[in-house]
Formats: sequence, structure tokens, C-alpha cells
Amino acid sequence: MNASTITVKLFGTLRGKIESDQKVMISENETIRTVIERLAINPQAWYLYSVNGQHAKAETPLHDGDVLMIVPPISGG
Amino acid sequence: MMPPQLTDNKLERFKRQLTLSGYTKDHQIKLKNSTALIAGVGGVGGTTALYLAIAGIGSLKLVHSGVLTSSNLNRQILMKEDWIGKTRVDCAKATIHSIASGVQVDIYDERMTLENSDDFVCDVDVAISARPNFPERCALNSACVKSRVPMIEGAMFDMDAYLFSIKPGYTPCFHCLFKDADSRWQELEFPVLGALSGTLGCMMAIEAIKVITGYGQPLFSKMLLYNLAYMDFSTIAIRRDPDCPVCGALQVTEGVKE
Repeated sequence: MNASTITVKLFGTLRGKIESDQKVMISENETIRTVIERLAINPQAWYLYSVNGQHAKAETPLHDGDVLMIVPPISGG
Repeated sequence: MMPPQLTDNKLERFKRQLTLSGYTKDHQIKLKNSTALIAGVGGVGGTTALYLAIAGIGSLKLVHSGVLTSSNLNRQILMKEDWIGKTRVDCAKATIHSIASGVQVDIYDERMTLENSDDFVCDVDVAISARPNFPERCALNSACVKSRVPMIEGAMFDMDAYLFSIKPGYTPCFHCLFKDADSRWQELEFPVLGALSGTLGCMMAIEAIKVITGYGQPLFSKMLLYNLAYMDFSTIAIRRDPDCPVCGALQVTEGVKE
């Protein structure tokens, strides 16, 4: 079976936690939550997630080629 | 009641925007008859206020507490060096009137709170959310949902910014997207380049004009995110949370056309 890979993008205060647009290998049945925990990004209730530009929940399964974005609230005004 | 017509002076002043494709005198009259609440007149909200004023909005309500400091001057374009120590809403009003004297400007040297936000939004056509902390943004969001006032939410950090427009009952409110505030956020510590906060303030002014006049398509159910260090722009299709404690009780609808 071919390995599956996704791209992870971080925003705002999360930038710098991992490389920008980091490629991450995933196994079967992985979700947003399991991937970000593996990246040592502590899932927070206030994060907004998107997969391929669509708003998603932490339990959303991930698939080869997906682009996951994690957006924390920011408040600079 | 017939809306007031534009005077010859106004037609001359706005003639370059009256030739925008699809933008008509009716749009301009709607803008003239409208009031925007600007929560925050710093790098973002001050820019929004300025561009709404010169676009021809009729009235602005400016809410921002505190006095001008030297470290505000890298981004807060309504302020001047010799005004350090003065109340910022007074400074903002003076600058706006020096550029667009016909705009009604009401000022409030206050923070947005759960207690006062309802009064601030009750008679406005749109609210601009540009305060540098979550409690004030959340208070404004709750008041806008309660009064069904459209709100433009824009925020920045470092070289990142995001922006979306809220039509209560139709599109996600702030709380639909962010269930809690980041408790580690430091109101006076975030890094900011004035040119970036200016871009965001300009885009928020454009969103407000679209929401008020019906011109174009606002960022309803859609979040724009960008990083200007890399000129990287993207959008996310965002959804209402039917269990949202702030707006979930409003009739759930299909959402407006993006």
C-alpha cells in the first residue's frame, strides 16, 4: 500500500511550531486530532480547522493529498 | 420616505467611485444614510474609519479607550506625533473631520463590554470589530447577534490576518468558529507592521460598504486568510454551529450565497 501524505499549514500564533507547509505521513483512520497530537500541537477548543478549504471538526478523517489548516483566534486590531 | 438625493458637491466629490462598475447613486445614498460602529480606532479600525469616511458614510460611532502613546504611531494613521497623551477617540474625530467634514462622528472613550455593547449597536447599520482583545470582540459579537446587526470581523497577528463578515442568523458568528478565547493573548504585545494592519482596515471598510449598500458580495460564510510576508492568500468555507450559545437560537437558515 502506498504511503499517504498531507500538507499541514499553521496560522497566526501557531506559526513556527512546525515548518511552513510541512508534509506529514498519515496512516489509515487518522483524523485531524490524531495528526496534530502527533505534531505536538496541543488541540485547543478555540482552534478552527479546515481541510481543503472546508471548515472541519477535529474528528474529521484525513486522506492522501489533503491540506489541513489550523487557525487559532487572533485579536490584533 | 424618499431618500435624500446627493447634492452637486457630493456628486463631484464621489464621481470617481460612482463610475465603479455596478456602483450607482443609490449605493452612494445608502452609504450616506448609514451609521457604522467602529470598535477600535487603532491600526485596523482607524484605517476602516478613515476609508468609510472618505467613501461618504453618513455617520460613525467610534469606541476606543485610552490615550495615544508613542508606540501607537507605527500604525495608527489617524494619530499625530504632537497628540501623544491625548484621548485617541478625540484625535480620531479631529483627523476624520479634517478630511471629511460632513461625516457625523460620535466618540466614546470606553471599552466594549457585555453591559454597554447593546446600546452601542442598537442604532447602527454595521459594526467593525477591531479591538485588540477577545473580551471586547466577544461582547460586540453577542450584541450584534442580539440586535441582528451585521458585523465585520478582522484581526491580525505578526504578518498574518483574517477577515470575515457576519450576518446573524445566516452566517457563522465569531463564537461559532472560536469556542473560547486564547487565554495567552497579550493585548499590548502582538507584533504589528502598520502596512499590514492598514490592508486589513481597508478590506474591512470595503466589506462594510458592501454590506451596507448591497454592492458586490461580502465575505459571508467565508473567511479570508493571508500572510503578507509570503503574499499567501486563501479562503475557508465556514459553517454555523447549530449549538452555538450565542447565535444558535436564531433561526437556522441555509446561509447566504457566497
